Amino acid sequence: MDDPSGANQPLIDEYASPTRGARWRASVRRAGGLLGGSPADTSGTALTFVLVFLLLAAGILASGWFYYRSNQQQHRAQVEEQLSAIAELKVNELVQWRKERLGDGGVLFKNASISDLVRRFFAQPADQDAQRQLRTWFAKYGTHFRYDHVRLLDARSVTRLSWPDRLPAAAPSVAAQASEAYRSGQVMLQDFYVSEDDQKVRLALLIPVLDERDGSRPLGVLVLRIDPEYYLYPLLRRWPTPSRTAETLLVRREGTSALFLNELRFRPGTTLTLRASLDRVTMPAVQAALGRDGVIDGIDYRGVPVVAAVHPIPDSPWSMVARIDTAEVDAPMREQLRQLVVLIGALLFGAGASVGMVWRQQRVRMYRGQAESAAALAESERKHRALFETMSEGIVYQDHEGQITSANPAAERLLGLSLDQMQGRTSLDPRWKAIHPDGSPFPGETHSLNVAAKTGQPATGEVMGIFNPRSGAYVWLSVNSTPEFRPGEKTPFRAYAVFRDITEQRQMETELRASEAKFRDLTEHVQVGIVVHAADTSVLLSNPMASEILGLTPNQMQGRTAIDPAWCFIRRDGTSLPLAEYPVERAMASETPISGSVAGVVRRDRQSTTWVDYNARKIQGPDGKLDHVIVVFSDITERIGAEEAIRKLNAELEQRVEARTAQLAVANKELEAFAYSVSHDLRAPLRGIDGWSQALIEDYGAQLDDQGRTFLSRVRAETQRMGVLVDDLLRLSRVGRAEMHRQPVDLSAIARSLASSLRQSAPERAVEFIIEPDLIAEGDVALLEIALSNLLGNAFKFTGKATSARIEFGRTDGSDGNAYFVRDDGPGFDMAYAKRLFGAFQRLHKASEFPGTGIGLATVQRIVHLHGGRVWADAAVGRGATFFFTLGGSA
Amino acid sequence: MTKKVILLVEDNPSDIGLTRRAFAKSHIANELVVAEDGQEALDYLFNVGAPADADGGRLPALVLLDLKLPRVDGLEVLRRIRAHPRTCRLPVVILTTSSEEQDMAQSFDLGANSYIRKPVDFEQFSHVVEQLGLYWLVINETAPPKGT
Repeated sequence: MDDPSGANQPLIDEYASPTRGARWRASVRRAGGLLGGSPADTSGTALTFVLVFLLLAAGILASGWFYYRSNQQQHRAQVEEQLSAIAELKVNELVQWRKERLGDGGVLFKNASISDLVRRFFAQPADQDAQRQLRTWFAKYGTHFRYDHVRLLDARSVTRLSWPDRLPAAAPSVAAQASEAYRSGQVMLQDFYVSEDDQKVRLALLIPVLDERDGSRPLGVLVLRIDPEYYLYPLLRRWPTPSRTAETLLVRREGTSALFLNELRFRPGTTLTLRASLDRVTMPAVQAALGRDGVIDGIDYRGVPVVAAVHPIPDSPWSMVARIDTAEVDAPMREQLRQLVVLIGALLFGAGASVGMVWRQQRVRMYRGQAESAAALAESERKHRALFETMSEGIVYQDHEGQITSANPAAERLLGLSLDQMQGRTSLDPRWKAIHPDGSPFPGETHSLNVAAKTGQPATGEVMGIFNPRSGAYVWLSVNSTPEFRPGEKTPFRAYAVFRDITEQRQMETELRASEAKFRDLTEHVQVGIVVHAADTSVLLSNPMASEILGLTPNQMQGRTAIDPAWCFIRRDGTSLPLAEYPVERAMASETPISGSVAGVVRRDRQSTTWVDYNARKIQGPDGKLDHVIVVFSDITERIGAEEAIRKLNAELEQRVEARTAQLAVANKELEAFAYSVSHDLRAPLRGIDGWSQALIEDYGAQLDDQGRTFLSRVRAETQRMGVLVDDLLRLSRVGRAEMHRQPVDLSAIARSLASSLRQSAPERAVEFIIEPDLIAEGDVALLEIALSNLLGNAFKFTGKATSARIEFGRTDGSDGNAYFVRDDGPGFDMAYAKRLFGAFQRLHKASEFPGTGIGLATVQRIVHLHGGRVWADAAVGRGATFFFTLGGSA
Repeated sequence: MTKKVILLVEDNPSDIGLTRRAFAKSHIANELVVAEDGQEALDYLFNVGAPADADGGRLPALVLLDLKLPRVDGLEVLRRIRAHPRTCRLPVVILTTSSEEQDMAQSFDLGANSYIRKPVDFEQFSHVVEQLGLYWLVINETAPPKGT
């Protein structure tokens, strides 16, 4: 495994390895067969289409046949009906014709005039009149009723008279028939016979002429010859529809044969000569001769199949045959058949074409489907391949023998080996350096991939560490192994393992465990009590310090809810805490953590109370529901005790302060009384001294010399100076006792007003005041006016000796904020004495130079101090003096 | 009818003398009656303990009242003067050495007509007294006593 070349190979080269496509194809090849179409499917489809076509063809053929059959039968019925109708019509006409002929005979039979004429003629053959009259009769009959010959035969059948004249003798058959008629005295119809004179077929009407006078004695026979060509044959030949083969036959049975009585259409010249034997029963003529009535199929005299209607003609020996060739009858059907065949052919072709089209379309669809499947397969392969190539889990395929056949880039990265390096390596290879989570070696035989490939046993979540030669460290993997089987096989042909990197997870777990251990250690040793309550307020866990503070063992706390009597909390005032104010209940009710709350915990022995300072907060789960409550508390019993002591001390102190304040108030009162008495009582004697000195000057001044008067003036001056001194002292004491009322004060305005007053007090002096405008300060108006009055007054006073002076009031930046200053250009003073400057009654100048009591600056200092500021001076002898002051925070 | 008296309530004999001298110098001829303490002043005003002479019913034209007095102090005297219907309209001028604001305020609150601080300088004092007499006895019209 420690293949150095492999380990050093750059990662990108491995990804470009040509084996990658191969390994992917190898892993997806199996899926191909499931999506593509097979040849068996195609032939099956073709067979289906052939069957469909055959069914269609059979249907078409059957329909055609039934249609044809039905048409044929219908046609046959029509033909038969037609034949019957024609036959019947002709039969009726023949019957009519016979009746007419016999009717003709009836007119002549037993005709008295004819009988008379014949008798006369026979009696006197020369009787021209009779002869003429008979001839007239004959001619009328012949021409009118269409008889070609009319003759009169006598008893011996000799022609005695004829029309036209001079006819040859009657044919023997006629003569024989005439004899019969003569004998029977009945009108008779001589059937078809061949005339001897012209060898043509004729018929004859035989009418016996009876002697009217002598009853029924026959005289002769009238023979009226009928030419069938005139009416009868045309009647027979006539056919109502044009037809190539139709004809009507008239037959008569003669012995054992049937005799054709009329001219045959297809065999001329056979009239009364053609006979057909009666045993030829297929012949319609024979059937007719045998008396059949109806429509029959048969073979006619030509040997041609025909359809015939046969009818016997009543009151005659004749039978009628109306026949037509089957061929002609079937001709329309054949045409129809031909059309039908064409139609069926077309239909079959159409059906075949349709089926073929559908089949073709299906083939196209199938091929398109196959193409789409192939595209889908390609797409699927692309997707799966991309997945295979890019997924963060590693995949390794191994065959049954344990050889690694394929691996994805993630596997290469995780294992630190290229596919080339892996291929040929089995899972048993000792170079893998696999270990169990506890660090023990992980033999290749027990590797789940190996097990899966050998036995088909899948495995999930197997954890193993594998040395990654590239990173030089163990990588921890969670491995799922899955065997793959070929259809029908019980032994896997290969298996694959999917594994993901859980190194970080393991690291995190380890860290978490360490963190948990640290946390546990912390809770065990921390100097605060910790109690965790479940959502139902029952105690989940507590730390040893909690036990110590509360005086309860963990077991005594575990599972106890807030309502448990084990808890007894009190307030600072000793009253017991209601349940709603228990730490856990308060934390549950509050949206924000509770902190810095104090409660007393009465110990179980009820003998002592432990005071705790607790913080409590509720912890909500991810769903926002209350999960648990943490209460952290520390023992502050000592602090509470100390606080109690301090409270007592404070109370005492307050009492003491009150006492002192009272004393101070008394002292203040005394001071005030003192000041009052000073102002009142000290001044009274001064006034007395002054007043009486004045009185002395006024009343007794004349008796004193100049010196005496000077002395008295001195007394008065001193007295008045003492008055000023007392007033200044009073003012100073009043400043000390004044109450401050801070408000914005326009110092510039005050300074201007004071300057104005000062100028007026000494209008002869030339003093220049330079006052900075808009200096607004925070302070007491009255006091600041006094201070400024003193400072400006001093400046004014000390510049009094000069011819002109310059006094300045302004503001400057000082070390402790803005400082106001009053500057003069007077004589100044020696800074060595500056310390004494602000003491009461301290003076730096002789009273004879500058009068004053030495209280002004003391007053100024007092006012500045009252404002929280400070005052100082800067001066030099002969160079003027500057007094600075600040006013506390507001300056 | 003689001129109305001026009642000076003052315990200091030096001040009494000086006041008399000042009045004299200012040529104020009104009789100056001196009460040397508050009680005496009240007694004078309300005729307590003194014989009810013909003059007993007469009130001074002006009361000059010191504040610091034995027995009954000046403010109390002023309060009583203002409390009594007979004397409530009497002009009372506080004449004192005290310049305490408190005293001044209380005096005006109790109805003092004027408040004058006695200067130490006698010349100034004389001048003040002269002005006082001139104002209260000549210029000012006295309010008629109540009920008389």
